[in-house]
Amino acid sequence: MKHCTSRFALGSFALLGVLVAAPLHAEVTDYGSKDLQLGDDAIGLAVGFGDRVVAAPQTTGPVLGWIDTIDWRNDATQTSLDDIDDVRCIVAAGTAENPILLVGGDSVLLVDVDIDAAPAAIASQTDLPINNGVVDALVWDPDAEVAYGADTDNALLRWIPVTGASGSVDSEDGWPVSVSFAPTHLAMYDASTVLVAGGDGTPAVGLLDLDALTVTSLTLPVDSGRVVAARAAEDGGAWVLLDSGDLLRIEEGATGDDDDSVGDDDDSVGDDDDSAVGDDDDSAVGDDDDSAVGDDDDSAVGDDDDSAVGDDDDSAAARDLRDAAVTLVGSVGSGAVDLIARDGVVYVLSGNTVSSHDVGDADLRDSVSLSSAGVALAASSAADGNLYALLADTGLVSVVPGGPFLDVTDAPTTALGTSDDLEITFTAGVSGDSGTCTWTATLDGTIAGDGTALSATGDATLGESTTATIPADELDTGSHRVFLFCDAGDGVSRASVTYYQGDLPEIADVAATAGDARVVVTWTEPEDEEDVAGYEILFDTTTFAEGDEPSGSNADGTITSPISVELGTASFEVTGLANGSAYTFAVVAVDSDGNRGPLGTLAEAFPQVTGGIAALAGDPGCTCDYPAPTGRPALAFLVLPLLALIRRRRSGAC
Amino acid sequence: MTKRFLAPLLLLALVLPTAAQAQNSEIPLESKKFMNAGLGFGWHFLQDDAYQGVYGDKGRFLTKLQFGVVPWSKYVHVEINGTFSFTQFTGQQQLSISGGASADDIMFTLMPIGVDLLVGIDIAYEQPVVPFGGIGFNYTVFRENEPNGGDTFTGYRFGPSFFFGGAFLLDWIERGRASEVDSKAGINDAFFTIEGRYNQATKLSQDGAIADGPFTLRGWQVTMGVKLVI
Repeated sequence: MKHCTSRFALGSFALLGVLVAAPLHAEVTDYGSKDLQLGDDAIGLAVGFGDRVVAAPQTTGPVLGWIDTIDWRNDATQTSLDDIDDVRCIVAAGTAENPILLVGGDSVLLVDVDIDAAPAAIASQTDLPINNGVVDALVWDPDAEVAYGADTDNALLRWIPVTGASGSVDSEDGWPVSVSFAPTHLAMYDASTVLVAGGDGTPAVGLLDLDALTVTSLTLPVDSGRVVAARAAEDGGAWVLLDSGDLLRIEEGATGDDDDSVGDDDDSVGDDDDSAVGDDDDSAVGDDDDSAVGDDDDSAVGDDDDSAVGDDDDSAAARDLRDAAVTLVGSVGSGAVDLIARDGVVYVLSGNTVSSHDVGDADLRDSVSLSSAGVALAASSAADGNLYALLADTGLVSVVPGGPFLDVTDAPTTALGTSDDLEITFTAGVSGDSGTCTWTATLDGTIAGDGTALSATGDATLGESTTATIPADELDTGSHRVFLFCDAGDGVSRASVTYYQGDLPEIADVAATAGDARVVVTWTEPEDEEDVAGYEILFDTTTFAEGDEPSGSNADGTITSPISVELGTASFEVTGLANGSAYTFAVVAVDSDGNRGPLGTLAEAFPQVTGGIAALAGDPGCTCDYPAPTGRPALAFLVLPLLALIRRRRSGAC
Repeated sequence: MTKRFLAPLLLLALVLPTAAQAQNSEIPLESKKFMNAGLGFGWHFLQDDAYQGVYGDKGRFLTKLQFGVVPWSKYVHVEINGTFSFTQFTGQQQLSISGGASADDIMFTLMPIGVDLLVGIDIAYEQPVVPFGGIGFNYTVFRENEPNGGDTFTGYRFGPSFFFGGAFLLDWIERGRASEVDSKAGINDAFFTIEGRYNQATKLSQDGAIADGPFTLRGWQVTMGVKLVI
């Protein structure tokens, strides 16, 4: 199995600043895991930027099984992957605001994820064909906003444009890049370097210089074992894990150029840098600065600056990747299949255990058990705090939470009156967890807890059912989402529910009838229309709940959810839908201020090819060619009296 | 006297006087019958499950035209007819994967063409009611077409037909005028007819052999109309 990695853990700290309720999480091994059904035959696992979508491609179909973590009760969605037959890996790409999933295989599929919708939706898929090759592993470069792929059999590294998908795979000059060994895993080493790991029988690691487009092979302290994972390190460099359990750290070693340490010509007093008069820097006339060739400045080759190879400076061109140090940190035990470096530790997935290890010596710190053996790890941002483990042969993904998992067991499914409190029953933690956590709530906002803080709070005993009551006067009318957070001191967990509060009626008899690339939605108008100013039809390819904002659209984007419909209308035809995709529809009443009524019953429809009895029964048909009926067969009837009259005349009768 | 015997006796009482009149007459009171034509309307009830999945099980309005010759019409009335029926209606296309009715309309056109042998009991002169029955062969052409220029599918089925009914002589309404119509236009008799017909249209020709079609067009026709005998 190949794994795709990104600098996800490093690049997603931005969320940390907005997480109101949650401090930085402690190690995820403090609390028990929770299994969610994601799909079958999955390979690889990715958590999309924004922490909402957890996705795993499945070879059968192929389809992408994914779940929106905004509400743990959401069912997984299976989205067909178009234009790709041989799925091999997945990686999170894009940004927290505009997440993308890249699925690699015999082509690269760019899956655009819409997290403005709730639940999230797969907005589009864009195919990037590969000319004579495959992609077995992917890595996302957030600075260049491109991805790089590893083609194991052809020993090539490929360039994959993502932003705008304006180019094609390897359309950049210099690509693809040859590697002296079979690359199976990639990780971002730094902004201009990609770590390439793999090997043909023996482990091999190299560094791809993105400027020079050359791969420098590194000398390893071990000569046996198969690379099973390569991940970026939190503090720079990268980790490589072998199936033998050997954990290798790759980082910048002692430099040969004069860079950032005392004694070389860099940035400290006494050396030729920028700090004081007397050294060769930029501060005063007389020192060797920026004024002319010959001084140690930035002007020309031959001086000790940042401009060219041969000078003693900090530029990439001066780096000698051969000096990168590969250290055998220790062993995490054989059978390891994946790792994530985060929270100041290295998490290793091995069998049915996720264990944390010291970064210095790989010593075991703690572990958490899974329900079955895992095959891949993925992480949400450090702020969100969760790890996810894909379990083998089960279609399950195990949430290894940063805090006690919040399992909502009961929440209102019908409209609340304006004086009704909102009661949410949940269980914090799973079996085996102990202690308490303090729950708080926010209204709307995101999973980061940036909504309106509510005053309601309380304590929950882990493993026991707790009811959180939000007073009616703290709720906004209409459809909204309440986020629950439970802080156990060393970790915060999250969950959310939606509700409707108000007087608008629920629309009855909502039905959706599928046709060929279209759906006809019908409903019964309420008899009491005093507050109703119109209707909105909400639809999406995923199911949704009260307070969600589904963002479905037809194939060409000409019809998008919500669809406004005038009062007095009881049906609407949504055309241009994709055959083979299931759509969920709801019709809500809208008042004159634009407030929506309760969601009511959801109706599902599955547009598909349709046909009459002959086409579907496989009738052999015929080439019968007959004129269309005139619609006036009675005219022929009038001929008969004429014939009779003629006969009479011929016989002499009158 | 029970009701069981009442109806046949009433019918006999109605028929015998006219039969006697015909037998005793030496002058032909009406021209010789040699051909007939009829126009009827009614309902077509197809019974195939696949058909009913798309178009339902209710009757569909039908127009039926009939022409034929009368090779014999003494005591026993015999006709050899050709019939042409036409019906057209809409249904809901079926979903190809999940099954069931879709939101898409489809139009079905059905044209049963038949050749029949009709035998009626006509033993009396100007017999007011002529019961009849017969057998035949029908060749039913159908066409399905999706609206707005969609796909069109054409096919056929054939098989035997069985029918029965009654013809009610309209000359009795105004006998003088009926005689005048006969003498001037050659229309011997005019009937109001009620007919029930079962078309066993299940077969088609496939690869040179007769086989059952993947669906059938078997079902009942119930028609009412006017038939003129010349």
